[in-house]
Amino acid sequence: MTDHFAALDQPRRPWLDTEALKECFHRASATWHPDVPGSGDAARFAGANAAYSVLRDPAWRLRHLLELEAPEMLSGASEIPPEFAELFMRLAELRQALNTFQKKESAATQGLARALLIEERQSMLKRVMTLKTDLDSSYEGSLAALQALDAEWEPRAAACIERLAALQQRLAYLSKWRVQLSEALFKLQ
Amino acid sequence: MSLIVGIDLGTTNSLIGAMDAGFPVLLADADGERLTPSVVHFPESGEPLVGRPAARMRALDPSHTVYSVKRFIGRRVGEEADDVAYPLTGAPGTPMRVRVRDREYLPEQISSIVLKKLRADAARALETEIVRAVITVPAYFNDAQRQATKAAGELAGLTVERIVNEPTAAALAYGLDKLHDRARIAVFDLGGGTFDISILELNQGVFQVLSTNGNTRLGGDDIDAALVAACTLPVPDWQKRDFVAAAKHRLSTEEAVEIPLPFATAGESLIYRLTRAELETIARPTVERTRWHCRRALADAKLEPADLDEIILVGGQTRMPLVRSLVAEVFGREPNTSQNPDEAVALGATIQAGILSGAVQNVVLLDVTPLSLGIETFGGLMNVIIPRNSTIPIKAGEMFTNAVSGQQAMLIKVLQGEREIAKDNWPLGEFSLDFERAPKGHARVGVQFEIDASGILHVLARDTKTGVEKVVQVSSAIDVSDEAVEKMLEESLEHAFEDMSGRVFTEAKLKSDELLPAVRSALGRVGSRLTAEEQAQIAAAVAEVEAALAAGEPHRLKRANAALDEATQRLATILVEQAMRTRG
Repeated sequence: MTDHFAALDQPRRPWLDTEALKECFHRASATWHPDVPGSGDAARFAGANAAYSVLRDPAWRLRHLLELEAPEMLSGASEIPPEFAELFMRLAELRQALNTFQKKESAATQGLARALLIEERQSMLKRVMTLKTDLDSSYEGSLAALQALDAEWEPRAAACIERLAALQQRLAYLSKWRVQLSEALFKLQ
Repeated sequence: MSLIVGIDLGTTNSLIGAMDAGFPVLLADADGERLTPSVVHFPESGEPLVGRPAARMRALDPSHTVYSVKRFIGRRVGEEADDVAYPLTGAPGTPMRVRVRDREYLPEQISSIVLKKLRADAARALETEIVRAVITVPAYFNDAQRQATKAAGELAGLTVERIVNEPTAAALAYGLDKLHDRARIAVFDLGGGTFDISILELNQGVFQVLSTNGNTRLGGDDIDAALVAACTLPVPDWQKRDFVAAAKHRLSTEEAVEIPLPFATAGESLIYRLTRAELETIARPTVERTRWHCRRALADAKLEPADLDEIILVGGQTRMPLVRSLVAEVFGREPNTSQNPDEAVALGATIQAGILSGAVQNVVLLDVTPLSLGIETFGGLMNVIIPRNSTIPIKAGEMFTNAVSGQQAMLIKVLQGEREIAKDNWPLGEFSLDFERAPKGHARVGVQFEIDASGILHVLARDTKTGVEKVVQVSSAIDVSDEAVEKMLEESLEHAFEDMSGRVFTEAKLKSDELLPAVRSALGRVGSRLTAEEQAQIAAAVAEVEAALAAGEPHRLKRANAALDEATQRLATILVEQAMRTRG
């Protein structure tokens, strides 16, 4: 089983410094990239490349950590944590509303028709920004919990593993939703 | 350590360079020029002309002078509009070909003629044989365009060691003397035919591309086309192209130009006049199209404009003041014009050549693939295997299994693009996987998709039982089904025999159907804020639209729509003001 932590010389822990990780990836590339005469090594570069894309995202990194330490904790399907249900509903509704609104907006080709839609556009933007703030703050909260877990981390301690799995799930959902909302915001602006 | 040259094979101009004592140097031809126009002219007899002599023939003999062929390299018929002065040919779905003097040429064959000249120029300048080369392409070129460019090099007798992305090359040229620094930069590359925007992080000699976006059909040629369309002088279009382009160039430094035309009709001399303001009005829609791509690249890199240290301008079209002011507006800072917009890409290609040959040390390029790579699933959706902006070289594996007991083969369609529905993406090609006979789900073949450092796809299939690996040929010539060809032919016939005035009326009616309810709604909301005279004007305009609709008169309806649109402008303004106020 590939060990992405080892590929980039990183300790197998929940938390890591993303700037330091990037620096590590750059140094690894400067040595192992296939173009570098002498030290170039296609297989090691591929390993570093794959490791970097997994380790830099908290949700993927935690997933990988579980794969290595406690693969039995990775369930196939997972339910949305109940405290997230409201966020999920708001996101789903907003994306639908945005979709409808954008269809209306692209059908309006003339100045007057577009002017009629301006107020609705502004209220859409406001809803998006409000939800973004809430998602971001949930995400930051989960990251803070992750750092706390890291401070008390004992590999293979059952309690730690359980907290890790729960955090992994939360971060996975929140990441995915933040991406979806970013996309929606991009299309709107 | 054998020599590798760097080549910028541009839409309009091409250049070649080599490393000399640690510096990239561009090589001049026998006339001392570093720029070679990417133009090939086929005279009635004898060898084709290349470069400046060919460019001179553009206005004199347009149908035998091939220019901007980069627009068609790697493209299939139907993918690109063929509004050039020379004839293009090919059946729908097959590679586009140029037809000159009763012979057909693939675009890569034309490009190879330009590359042969560059190769000869370099050989003369360096007094050595030139074999190995690095050639640049727009970052947003797809797999077929990259492969065709590589083929062009091979046809010219070159071993193409690498295909490099143009904005990345420009970043190399910019950053070569800043290897101890750290910076985040954007490269805005607007050339004759293509546009790219790349965002990079420079860190102690590592050049990492964070994201790239662009449009391979957006460039100075589009501005020229708009100028040609706007020019009312009684001169054929193919002659207009040259003087509008000259005017456009001069207006980067002058406020107004007058160009006397040499081909005067009997006794009458013609003058082409254009002001910078007029040019900007005509060019603005084209330049504005770059904005979305800049936003997209920033979003993909998860950066805001303020996070960047420099915006580097590359490509001849960035000399235009309008382009510079758009860049300043989008990125919130004045662009960096320290790089020669015509030469930066070639210098960068030369540096990459130096990296590969060992002449340049301590520099490493981490480029990305610009388009998501995926396969079509059973339900017609795109299943992404390698996402866009993944650092290359990169491999990804997929396991395929037989869906039906005894199934012997499975057709896999490979695509590049960002759309959810597979057929909305660009079809790279397809390949067939062989299964040994087995119960459903028991025959398994592992497929490895690799995008190499040139951004080109290689596919390997591995039988999980025997472990035998074989290279999979992804074929792209047979993409268009018979049905699709028939449909394309039908549609083109439809347009040919369409009732023109019927079409005008239908279009105008669509406008009225949108305008009338909008006017009613707007009047309901803010109508009371209008003067009695304004309200009467609008009522009259509405009545005229309704009358024209009832009478079924297409041009009358068109005029009536326009009049109503104008009469309701004040309404639109009031609505916007109101919205701005309630926003608080």
